[in-house]
Amino acid sequence: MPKRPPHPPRLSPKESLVVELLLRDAEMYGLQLVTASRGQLKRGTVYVTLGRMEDKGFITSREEAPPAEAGGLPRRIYRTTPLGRHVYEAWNAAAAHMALGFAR
Amino acid sequence: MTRRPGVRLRALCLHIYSERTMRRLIDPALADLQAEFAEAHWSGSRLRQTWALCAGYVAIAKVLGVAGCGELGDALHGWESAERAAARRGAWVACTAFVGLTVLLGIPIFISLNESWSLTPALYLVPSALPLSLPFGWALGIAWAFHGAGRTRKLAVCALALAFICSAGMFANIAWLLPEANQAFRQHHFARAVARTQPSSRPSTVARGDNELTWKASRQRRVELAAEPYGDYRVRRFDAGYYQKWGFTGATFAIVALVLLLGARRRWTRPGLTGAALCICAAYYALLSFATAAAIGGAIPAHVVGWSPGAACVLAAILLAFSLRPQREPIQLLRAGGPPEEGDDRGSKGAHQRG
Repeated sequence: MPKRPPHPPRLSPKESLVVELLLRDAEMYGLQLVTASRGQLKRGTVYVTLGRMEDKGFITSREEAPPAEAGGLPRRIYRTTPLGRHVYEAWNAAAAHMALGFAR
Repeated sequence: MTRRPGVRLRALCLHIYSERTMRRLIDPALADLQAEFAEAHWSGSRLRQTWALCAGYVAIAKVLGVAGCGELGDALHGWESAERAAARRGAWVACTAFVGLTVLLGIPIFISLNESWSLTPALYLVPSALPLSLPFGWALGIAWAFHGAGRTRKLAVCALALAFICSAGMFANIAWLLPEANQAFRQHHFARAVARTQPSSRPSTVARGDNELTWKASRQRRVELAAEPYGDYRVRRFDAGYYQKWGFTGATFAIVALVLLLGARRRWTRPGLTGAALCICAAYYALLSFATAAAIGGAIPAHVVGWSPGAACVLAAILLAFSLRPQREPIQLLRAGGPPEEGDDRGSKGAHQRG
């Protein structure tokens, strides 16, 4: 029996929005993503989404030291990976293709 | 500049959450709070500062809740043999202590009422023994298991989650099961007494006492008491008893949480932690009894009875978390052992710096 091909990477609507925002601005903080999403991403759950996307390899993050005069914890800044961009483009292309098919 | 917000909360979280959760979920949320508060501080607007704090802490509360669920999910998988052995040991001790204490609490009632030694009346007494025997059993089990190789985060998280479930179960027990079981026991005993003295007559139904009322019936009873002459004292007494039940409900979770925190802060000998657990249990119930007596006497409002022992446990936990010196040797609570997880950057100074 032939082996089933592995599942293609999936992108939920929230994850799609995150990739879209990160493609618009190269790097963003979690709070910036919340602001830019105009209420679609919530402050209390954005880091769960970002953590899950990091596990999937769609985004990557690094720590950015805060300004010297401000101090505090380093902030985590996120950017998309090539895989994230490809999945986003493929997902959008598939969605557009299906929308076209249904419109006929 | 004033002190940065979230520093103490982070110090507390370091004891509860794994490094991975801290790095991925909690630290970024705390960094957002601090950055936003710093901006608000520089702007000079008190309103903006307050808003930044409120919005930040609400978000962090959500993050902590989600992270807690994640920790529990992680804790259920990948147990090592030492952890499994410790959990088995703890469960065995907890069950033995629980059953032993339940029996010990039931025996005096059987003797004083000259009740026959049969299973049915004994089962009726079990729900009324649970508010004492379950927290004691749990605390002893934790003290026995949380030692040596079993002193791990996974065991602590699972024990805390089970204690929470036990507290929820205790609520159901006190609200519905205990009143019915008490009433069934009274009815059974009354029927036997009637059968002994007047074999020909049929026993009537025994009126329910204060301890045999469900939550809904309790509220109705309180209204009736308030309308009676000299109702003040009786209402106070009734209220104190009502809120005492709430104190029993939270006992398992509060006691287990405090015992775990005590065990996590330093290395104890097994008898030492067992003794400490027994002292915590005794102190909890002593405080509950003292608060009940004070409420009946009118010295404190009745609702204080319900939350005062739990509040004392929380206060003790906070004092423990912040005042005791952490142990010097590497604490196993961070990880039971084995290789670090992928992407687990333990050496990252920024991610793991102490708050």
